Amino acid sequence: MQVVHVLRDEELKMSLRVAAIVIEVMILTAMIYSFFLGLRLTLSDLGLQPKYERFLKLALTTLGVFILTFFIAHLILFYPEFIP
Amino acid sequence: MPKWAMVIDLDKCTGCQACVVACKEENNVPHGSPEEQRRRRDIYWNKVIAVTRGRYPRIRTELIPMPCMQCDDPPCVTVCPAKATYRREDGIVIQNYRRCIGCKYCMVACPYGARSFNFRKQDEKEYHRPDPPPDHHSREVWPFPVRIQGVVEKCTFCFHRIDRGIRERKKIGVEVVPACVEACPSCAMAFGDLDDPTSPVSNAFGSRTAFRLREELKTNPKVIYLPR
Amino acid sequence: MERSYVTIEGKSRGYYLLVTLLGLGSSSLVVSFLVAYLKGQQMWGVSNIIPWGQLIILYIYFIGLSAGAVIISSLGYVLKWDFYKPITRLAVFLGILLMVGAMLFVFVDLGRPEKFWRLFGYYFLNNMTSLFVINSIFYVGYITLMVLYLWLIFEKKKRWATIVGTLDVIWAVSVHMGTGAIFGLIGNREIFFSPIKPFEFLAAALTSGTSLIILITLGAFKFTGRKIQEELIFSLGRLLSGLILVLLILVFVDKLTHLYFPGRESTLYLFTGNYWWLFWVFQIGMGIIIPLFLLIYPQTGRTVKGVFSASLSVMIGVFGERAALVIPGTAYPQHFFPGFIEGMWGKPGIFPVTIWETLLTLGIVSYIALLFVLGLKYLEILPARDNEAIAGMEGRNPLIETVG
Repeated sequence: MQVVHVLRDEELKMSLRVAAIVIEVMILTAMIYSFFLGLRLTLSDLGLQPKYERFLKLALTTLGVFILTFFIAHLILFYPEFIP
Repeated sequence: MPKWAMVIDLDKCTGCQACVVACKEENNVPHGSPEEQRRRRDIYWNKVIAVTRGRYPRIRTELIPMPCMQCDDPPCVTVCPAKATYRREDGIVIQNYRRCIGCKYCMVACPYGARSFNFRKQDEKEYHRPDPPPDHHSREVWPFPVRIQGVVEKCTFCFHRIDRGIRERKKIGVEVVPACVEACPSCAMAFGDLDDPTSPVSNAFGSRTAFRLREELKTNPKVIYLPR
Repeated sequence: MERSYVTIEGKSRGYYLLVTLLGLGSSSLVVSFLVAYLKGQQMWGVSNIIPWGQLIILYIYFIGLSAGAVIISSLGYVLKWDFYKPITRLAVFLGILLMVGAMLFVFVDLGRPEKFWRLFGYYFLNNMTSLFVINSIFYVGYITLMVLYLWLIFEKKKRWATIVGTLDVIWAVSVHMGTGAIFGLIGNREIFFSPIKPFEFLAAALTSGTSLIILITLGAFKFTGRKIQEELIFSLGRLLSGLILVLLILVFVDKLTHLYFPGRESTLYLFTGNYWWLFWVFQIGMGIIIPLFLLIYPQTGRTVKGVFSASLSVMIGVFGERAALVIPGTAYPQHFFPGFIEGMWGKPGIFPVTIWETLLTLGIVSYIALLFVLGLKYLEILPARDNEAIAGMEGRNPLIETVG
């Protein structure tokens, strides 16, 4: 006889929440990454000399990390308490 | 357009601070802990100050309740960068929490110290009223469920009461008054329309002894005091 | 005389140590910001009486440093004094980073930082009478101009650089006068209210900017083994002493005006209240008297060490000046009614120095320093080691580091 593990209500909510958070963080990272990459590529297309690129990459990466951390903090603080 | 103002008769004021407590109860302002009071972070929409003049034995103490003065020329409206605070046509200075970015410039600019900042997310036990409203079927706007962290707030002359009163065609100043005016046990406070010649406010405004606070700054406050 | 600029190699142990330390500082920025954001601003020393704390002090300090640095850099390109050319790139790069730092300070100080974009919705969402909005217009233009200026200097387009540089200097003056106007135009705080606050701010910016340039030049050149022209440092030192005299006159006139009626009590509170030491020890002592003494006295004024100590003193002193404006300015209890106000409403405010606010401040300063140090490695900021006239250097010279 097979034992089927039926997820309880709270467990379902919890795992849904965790999945939602993971997906949201991934989407956030993707958005910030593509935004800054687009910025860098646009600047180099407009004729920015390659000698500036390393510094620009470093500065934008640090800024991107800060922004990602900020968004995660904002979501932690202001996440809605319920799923309608 | 009515021009809402308040009269406070200092002769009748006993400094009991019922107005302070009633305001906190009506607008769900958090109680504030002793630690917060020590650090001057407690939120006061209405405060009562005691000012002493003279030397013993000829001493004189004035007890002055100070809500937001709802100035006609408000310095806070001039300095708010996000237009989060603005003066309504009926003279009440509204604070829009959705727009407020929490820069605290208005707190620096207010000559009466009427504004408070939300320094933290308050615990459930700090509130008088739970959230959401007890009557789930109520279609009314629930103005003050919980504090929004990081924004500035201040006394609003209970505009939610006034607006509801106007909708229900009640007489403002007689049947509908702000919470502090309602709670005063010695009836020291009165509320009404400055443009209405029959209201107690306009009578007081024309009185010989009426004064307003810090008039030299020309903010034209609309809280009028009658001295002792 | 064509000077060549190079990147630094940045492979020494000291450099890696510096980058690691500054990286740790930047991570403290992230951590302390998260703590303050998630737990609320209760973790800081600010209160309803003193709503502006360390972050706003450093915000105005950094804008002053940036404006001062750019105006000093203008001596090289705009006034065409070739003597100052070696430090122009350094100064403008520093100016950009300091402005970015100032914007970061404002961002984290907001109660709701995610709404910071509301500061930039000119005319549509904004109240144009608010000085924050006017300043944000100035700051955006200023950063753009500085980036353009630096790019033109890098591309060696001298004529364009001079034009943009002149515009940049004028803009820098309006930027900092606008920052001064944030405080000077508030009528109810007597310590703030003064029509010469913008000029005082400008004078403080020029002195602190010059000192910063002196310190950074000395530091960068010493640590990368470059020979420093002593005459350059002495000339900057003389400029600094002149600027300190201007600052002294402005501060004197401002305080004298306030000592006459009305509003005398607020200035007396500044002089003798619980924050008297911010004014006397830092603003006057370390910001004006000690450096003036050091620079005018020939025995110290003509030595690099003397100018270095004077600059350090000015940096600390002007920081104290900003603090002596923000903290006592709001701590002084407002007089709602004539008489003695009993209880806590009549007491001056107290601003405790809290650990999280300090860590956040140090974190942002380290982040800006980190960007500067990394910029030295990846951008051509510093002049080549051997700066005797080497025109259009193309070949390999073993004395000069290769471009990184």
